[in-house]
Amino acid sequence: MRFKRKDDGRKPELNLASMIDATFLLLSFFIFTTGQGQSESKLSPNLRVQRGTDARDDLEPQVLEVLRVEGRDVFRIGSSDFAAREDVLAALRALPVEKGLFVRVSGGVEVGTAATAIQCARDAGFEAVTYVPAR
Amino acid sequence: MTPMIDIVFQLLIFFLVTAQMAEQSRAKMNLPVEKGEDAAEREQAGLTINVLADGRIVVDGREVSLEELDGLVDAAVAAAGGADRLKPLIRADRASDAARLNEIFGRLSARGLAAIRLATERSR
Repeated sequence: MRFKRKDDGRKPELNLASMIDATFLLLSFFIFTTGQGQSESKLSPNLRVQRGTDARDDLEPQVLEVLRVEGRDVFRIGSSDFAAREDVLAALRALPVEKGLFVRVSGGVEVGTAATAIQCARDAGFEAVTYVPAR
Repeated sequence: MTPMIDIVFQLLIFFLVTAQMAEQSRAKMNLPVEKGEDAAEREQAGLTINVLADGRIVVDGREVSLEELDGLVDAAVAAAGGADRLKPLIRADRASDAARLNEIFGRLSARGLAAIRLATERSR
């Protein structure tokens, strides 16, 4: 049996134009999007706090307590309790900022309230804000 | 027209798949609404710990226990070249209990981490 190959004069060809189009399009997409993306840690603003340590100098930092009293979150400085953000901010502004501030947060309090306490401390001008988990 | 239609469909599939992946890789939560600090002071965390509203801890899209978190912190400290170089970021849901946050702070402090940051979001 003999198989005869037909030769109609056509040469096989590969059209690369569309593949090159797609490649360039993807390339430009990746170039643009690589610089745009932000890592999860940089997506949101954040509040800096230090870990709790024993005070080693004569300057005893003041303490802002955040605790839950009768079903609501309150801020306590010394013997004074505050519920409103403006009130605690005003009280913190009356304190000397160079001594630093301890923010002691009790369990049962919402994280949002703890963040408010830290933010108020920052807004009042405290540079050294130390987060102290209450026991 | 055929190659163009091919490309359009391919791109459509690509965008659909990547959009879904991006959605899944970020833990959904409501961060505390505070202005935070200046953008210039934001630094790369090296370790981001997500605390969901129900207290579950998620790191890199995976739910972890407190014990597993210890291992991840140790690895991050080693990668950063020391506890003083690592500045972990805690992204905690504003409705979550601070008791969980306290536990995490306690564990991070026990490992000598000096600077810990709490993520916030600006009001819209």
